[in-house]
Amino acid sequence: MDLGAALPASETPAPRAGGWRRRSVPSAPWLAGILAVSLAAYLVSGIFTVAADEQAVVRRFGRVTMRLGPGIHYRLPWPVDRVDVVKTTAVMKTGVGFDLPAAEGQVATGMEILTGDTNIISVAIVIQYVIRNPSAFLFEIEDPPKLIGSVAESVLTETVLGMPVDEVLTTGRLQIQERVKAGTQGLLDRYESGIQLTSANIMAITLDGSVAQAFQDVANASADREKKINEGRSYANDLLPKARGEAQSMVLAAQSYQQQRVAEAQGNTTRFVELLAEYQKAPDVTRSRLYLEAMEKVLPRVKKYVIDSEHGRNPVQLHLTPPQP
Amino acid sequence: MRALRRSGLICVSILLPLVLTSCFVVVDVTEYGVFTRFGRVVRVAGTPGLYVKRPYPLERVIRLDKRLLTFKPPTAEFLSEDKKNLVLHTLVTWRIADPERFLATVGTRPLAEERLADVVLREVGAVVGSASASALISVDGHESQFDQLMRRIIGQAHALALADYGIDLGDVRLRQLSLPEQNRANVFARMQAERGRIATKYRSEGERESKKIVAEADREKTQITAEAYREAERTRAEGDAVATRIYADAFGKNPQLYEFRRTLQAYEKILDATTTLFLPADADILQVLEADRKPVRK
Repeated sequence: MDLGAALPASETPAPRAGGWRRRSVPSAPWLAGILAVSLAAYLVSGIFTVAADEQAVVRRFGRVTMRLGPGIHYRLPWPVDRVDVVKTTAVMKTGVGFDLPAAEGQVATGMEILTGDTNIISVAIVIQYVIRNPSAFLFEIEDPPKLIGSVAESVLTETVLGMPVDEVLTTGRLQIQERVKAGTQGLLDRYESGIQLTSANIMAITLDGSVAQAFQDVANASADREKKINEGRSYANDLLPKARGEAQSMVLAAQSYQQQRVAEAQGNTTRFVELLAEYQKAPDVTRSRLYLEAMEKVLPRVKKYVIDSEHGRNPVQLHLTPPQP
Repeated sequence: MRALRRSGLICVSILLPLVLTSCFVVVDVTEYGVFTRFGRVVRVAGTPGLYVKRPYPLERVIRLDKRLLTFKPPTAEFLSEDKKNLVLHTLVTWRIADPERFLATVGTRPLAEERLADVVLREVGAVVGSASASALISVDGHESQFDQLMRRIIGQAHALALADYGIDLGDVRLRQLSLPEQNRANVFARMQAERGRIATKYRSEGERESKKIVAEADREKTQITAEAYREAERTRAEGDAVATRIYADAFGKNPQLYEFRRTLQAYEKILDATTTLFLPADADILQVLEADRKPVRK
């Protein structure tokens, strides 16, 4: 199809070349041969290839006519058609407010920004982008990487100017990245730049040497605070389970006391109740028996004197055995 | 004569293609083609394509960039309404909207940028001068105020640029805002003091928090112990009560027997080897002896 379109247009240079030959050098077959070969070479120079990760945009007389994907293609040679090939899948990078370090090991400090609470910090953000619309990318804006960098710079400045420094250094990082990406993308879309941002990453946030130590100390203090709190927690975690254990054993001891008391009472009263049953059958005998049994147990141990106190009589002669050793 | 004709022929054969090619002009998608006839604009080609014009000396084409252009005006220091010096780095995006007017007034890009810088910086100065620094630098409600200021700058500069230079001012953005060099030392000193304060606050906070946790734990321990004590005492009392009831129930059936038996049991405990006991002769335990003797005496 490309070749077909090329044929009628290729007539244009041919007559002019022929006319020139006829006028100046009427008969020279070898010259005709050279002309034919160079014409063929000229036409063949219109063949071009587009790699798998690329797209081509063809302009005919300055007007965008074709957007071509990977493969082999034909366009008319200069001065009719011009072709631009761009990599559309390759991710490109640009630094925001600074040039990306050329070597791997170098550290970029980025651009200096004022935070909402008037602190000065440096933020290095790297933006990655792909070309979404090659013809817009090529023809709508002057210097895409420069534009991306500058626009992102302004979004970053605007974002950080509304944030306190603590947020920027801690929880706000993600938010900054998000907002730089979204804000920059929004503007680039408004400019119809054909650029798609894939990410905005904070590489580093640095502080001036004169205050870095102070910021570090805040970080240390924060760690100290956590440590103190954890110490308190571990004290509590040690103390309370022990207290609970002690409390439980206290309650258990009380419960066992209760059970013991009840069991004792039951045991003691069981004997009494049995005795009572016996007693009710024969009260006098049982009473005497109990009395005598007790005396039998008690009296052998003690020193005894029998006195006839009531009547003042002499002690009776007793035939009692002395106390057992 | 022949030589003259010959040289004339050669001249024509060289010039004619040149003149012919100068009749065709390609206007690219990225540019405007402004056709001028002896300096006077006769046509503006806004759409890309192949154009035919009169040959070179009669008509010329001036190409003007149609793309979105970016430009960074020089960094300038401004005074806000509350007398704070702010150094603003701005970014301007623009394109040529009216090529004829552009050509008539500024003509070239460097000149256009110079004029743009004047217009933009004048507006920035006016707007910043009428706002307090906190409209630009603040932690709360920042977005709306900032946007408003920027929109005011663009609104006024845009109209001027379009009317005067045929320039469509796309955007004026604040690329960077900084403080004058002589203020930096102050800022850093303040930052340092602020950090010191925060560090102290964190440390005392940790101390306080930790003490609170310890005190809370101690309190909880006391409570646990007290509750356990109460529970234990209650349990004990219950045991005592139940036991007492059992005793009362059982012994209440015959109090005399209980008293008698309990007394005997008490004797067993009270009387031991160190005890000396004086028994009256008529003690119960001795009654039998007496009874025995009685008949003997009589």
